[in-house]
Amino acid sequence: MASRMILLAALVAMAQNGGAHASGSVPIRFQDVIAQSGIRFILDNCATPEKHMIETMAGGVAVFDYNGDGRPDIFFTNGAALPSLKKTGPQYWNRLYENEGHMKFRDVTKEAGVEGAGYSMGVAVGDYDNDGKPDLFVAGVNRNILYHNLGNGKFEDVTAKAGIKSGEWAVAAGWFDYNNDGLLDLWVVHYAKWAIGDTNDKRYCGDQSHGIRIYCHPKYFQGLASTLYRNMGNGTFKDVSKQAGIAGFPGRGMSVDFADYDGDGYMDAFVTNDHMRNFLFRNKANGTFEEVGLPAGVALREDGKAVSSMGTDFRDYNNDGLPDIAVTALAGETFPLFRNVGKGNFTDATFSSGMAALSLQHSGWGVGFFDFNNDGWKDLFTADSHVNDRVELSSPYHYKEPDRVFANLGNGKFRDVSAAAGLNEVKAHRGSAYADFDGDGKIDVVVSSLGAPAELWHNANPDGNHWLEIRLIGTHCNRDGIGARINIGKQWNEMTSAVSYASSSLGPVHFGLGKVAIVETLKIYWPDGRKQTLHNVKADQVLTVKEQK
Amino acid sequence: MLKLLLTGAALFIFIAGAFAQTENLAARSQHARELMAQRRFAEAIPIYQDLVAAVPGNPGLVLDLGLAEEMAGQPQKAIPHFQAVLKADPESIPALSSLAMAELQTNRPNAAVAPLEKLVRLQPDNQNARGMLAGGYMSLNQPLKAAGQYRKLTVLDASDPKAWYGLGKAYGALARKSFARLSKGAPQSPYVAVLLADSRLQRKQYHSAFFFYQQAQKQLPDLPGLHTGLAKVYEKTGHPDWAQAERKLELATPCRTRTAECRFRSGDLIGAAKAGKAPSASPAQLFWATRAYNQLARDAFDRLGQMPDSVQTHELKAEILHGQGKDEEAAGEWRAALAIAPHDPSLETGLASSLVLAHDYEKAMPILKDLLAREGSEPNLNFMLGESLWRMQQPSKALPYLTAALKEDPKLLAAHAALGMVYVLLGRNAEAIPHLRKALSLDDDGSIHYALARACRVAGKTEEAKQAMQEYSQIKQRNQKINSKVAKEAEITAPK
Repeated sequence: MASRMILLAALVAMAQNGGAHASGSVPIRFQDVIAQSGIRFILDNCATPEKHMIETMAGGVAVFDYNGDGRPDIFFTNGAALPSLKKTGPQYWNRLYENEGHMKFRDVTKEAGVEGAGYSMGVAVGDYDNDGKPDLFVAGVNRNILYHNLGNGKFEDVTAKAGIKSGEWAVAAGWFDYNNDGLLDLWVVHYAKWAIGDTNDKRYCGDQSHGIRIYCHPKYFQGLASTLYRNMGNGTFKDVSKQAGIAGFPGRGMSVDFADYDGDGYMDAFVTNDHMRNFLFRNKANGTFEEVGLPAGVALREDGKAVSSMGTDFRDYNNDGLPDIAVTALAGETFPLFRNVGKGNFTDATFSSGMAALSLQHSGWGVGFFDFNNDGWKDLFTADSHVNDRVELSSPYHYKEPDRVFANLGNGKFRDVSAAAGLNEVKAHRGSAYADFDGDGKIDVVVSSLGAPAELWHNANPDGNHWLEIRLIGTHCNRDGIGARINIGKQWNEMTSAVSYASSSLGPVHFGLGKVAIVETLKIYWPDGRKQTLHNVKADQVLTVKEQK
Repeated sequence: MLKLLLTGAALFIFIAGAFAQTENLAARSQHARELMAQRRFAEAIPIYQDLVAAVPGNPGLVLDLGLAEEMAGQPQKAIPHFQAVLKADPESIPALSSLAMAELQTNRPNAAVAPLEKLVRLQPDNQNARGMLAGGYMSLNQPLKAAGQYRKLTVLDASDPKAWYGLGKAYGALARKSFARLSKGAPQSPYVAVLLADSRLQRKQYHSAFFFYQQAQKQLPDLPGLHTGLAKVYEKTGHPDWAQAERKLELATPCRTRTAECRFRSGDLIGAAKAGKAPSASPAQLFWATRAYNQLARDAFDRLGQMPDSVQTHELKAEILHGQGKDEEAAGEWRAALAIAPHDPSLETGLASSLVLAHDYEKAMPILKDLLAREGSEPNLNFMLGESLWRMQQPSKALPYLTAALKEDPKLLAAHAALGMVYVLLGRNAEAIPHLRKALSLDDDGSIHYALARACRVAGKTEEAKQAMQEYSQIKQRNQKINSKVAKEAEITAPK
């Protein structure tokens, strides 16, 4: 009787946690299926002996269902010839692969008209005109492109008529609705002032006497502020960076992610900066932002050191309902993990979560909090590699590394399970994007690598845990419900496409449910403040939820 | 008669006893000597103590006692014994030498200098004593005297790498001294700018060197050496035609007779250096003295560089590489030195330091642990091990080493900073605060102020948190200005 009571109590606790159990008893397994997938993409960064800084920073990847067939497709950004910065041949084209099901893809780049121009870096997916067809923004070196999805398998370059500017080195971007007007606005992250042949480009870093040239330290580059474009609702955008109060914060931006960290109903923006403090722009709910990275405790590690912050994800990893921040950085720096403790404050949980020791020897770019084994706790995936391809000559660290996955143990700590998961490809990884490509309820990962074939990591976990994916359709708010927060038991997740390094993943919001087959209560908090509750939702499905009028 | 007999008996007994005692003393002395030969110094000490008590005033025995004590690692106890010997025999070579050695062992170079000076006077060819005297002067920050001794050593044995190494270091110290005087007296002068540029050039920081040469050129375009420096920058950065033009300009620069400059340019480096000695030396004289000492140091090191591999050549290379910020490569030099002199604790310490500076904590830690086990607790070793452990994200393990370092040397500010960070990582913010406060003067990038601000905030010290955060921002602003300056330094342009 007593043992039955204990078992019952345990089941109740599990159900309250949205099926979460801390053991991680379902192992995380991946298998690279790129060779059989039909994807032949190799990121050509045009590596030169001159070590132009842009070469080492390419590699954004996006996942989105461009043709509305319910299957996530893949878009890769690509480099260009140097010094011309022109896509002089198909090897430099950005690439769009249509998902044909069963992990098979078809290159539709040309027919979709998204080969691109210039040296592309990052990508952001969002349906800016709320027509149900996700659009594409490509950030690049002096050349940004906004593609409007025409819905017939083709895209139109609307950059100029939309009022999107180029001329700076943009690395990443993200879509969010900062003023809750139901239209997605665009945040573009810039790295630094740079041009082929300028002083910083010509600077010889490394050991000239031995002919060892390396990519220069970020300190030599004068950072740039992000640009915020307000969606005017008529297919055009207006640069509101000054009015919004973000123009006065030059950084060496690498990525941007959004979440309503202080629960005021407005999305805030977190920008990672390379070797300088990160920015947390608190949305003041009046069209302006206040930079609060330092007082909030996310600008620097707890020891006051700025790290080479690369990619980021802004989600709740400890199931307390508050979005936390994970950041990738270089070997010797650790991958900082900032835990949201409420009231606008974060604590540096890098050490206490075990991530400090686990990440100390590694360098990461792409990053994502996803529940890979559907146990109810978001795990952490990182696409790893150092920035400096000669790093082995002067340090104990490695340039090319395998990707890593850190299993969330459910007690605030993580464990590196990369080797057992089968992440064994040693490459110069950069961007990463996340989706369930084959509809089996398990999150797969696509990763880009400099000068090497991309990886398509099929989640090969044994079945055993339940899952649920929620696809939102906004009516009052933006079409994909970006900015909505979803709650199941103790679990929370965000609807956002901004994740990782220079990358984007627009998909249904994923929940692992453990052994829970029916979700008793599912709550959706739409960005316009409406709350929608569903009861007794069956697990193991992609549930489409339309915002109630 | 009886009294006589008794007296005679007593005398016999005394003589017999004295004889037996003498025999016994001789045997014990022999035994002590054997122990010393077997390096069982500690065991020899009580025997010598007995012998000294049995035969008071015997300087030989007192000297032996002192030697046993010194060799047994008790130099402090040995010192009065050597002094006693010198009182009886002021020119006792072994006593002078041993006293100096004991004083150096007890970290009192000032007390070692007098016996060494006397010893060198008595034995001008004693290279060991002269080397110790030179080292003593260096410890006392008297590089001029040290240079004199090292110079004599190079004359006594031109193949002695230690002498050339010491000479180079002494001249280097003299160059720093005269540069410090120049920077204090004329900080904005072109002389300071050129010397900074020279030093950047030596470190292969060509863009920075160019910036400082240009600064000097604005004020004193004909300053000798300036064009040569610019030519070197141009050569190293792929502008041979510009370099040639600068070299021509250098040749055209006139030499003013009988000035320090002229002496320098005619190769009379010692003469040029002397001009900077006077308390009233002008900026120009100090400039030329600095350059002369720098050149003398380079000449000595060049000489060393031509010698076959030795511990000293590798030490020197390690130091140069450290100066260039190449600590990983410096570690390689320490390893090469250790291949020649395995297990040398000072070389191992050098290797560990380079590894810590190169952030290769994993390789530094076993060396530091081994050194601590072999050489005993020492604040710097404890600090470096504690620093390595916390940098490797093992704060709990770092804690005892950092605590020990501060117990042994409470003024070790870097250890305070590290211990403060360790407490922060362990969530013991209240304990972190006093250590972080003590380390604030080290904070060149604002990180300690930031950590203090965060710790104070968690500990409820709101005002202090606010103040520390403000100071953090000020440091950042200051550094930003410097960084913009660095950015300006970047461009190397054609000669004007």
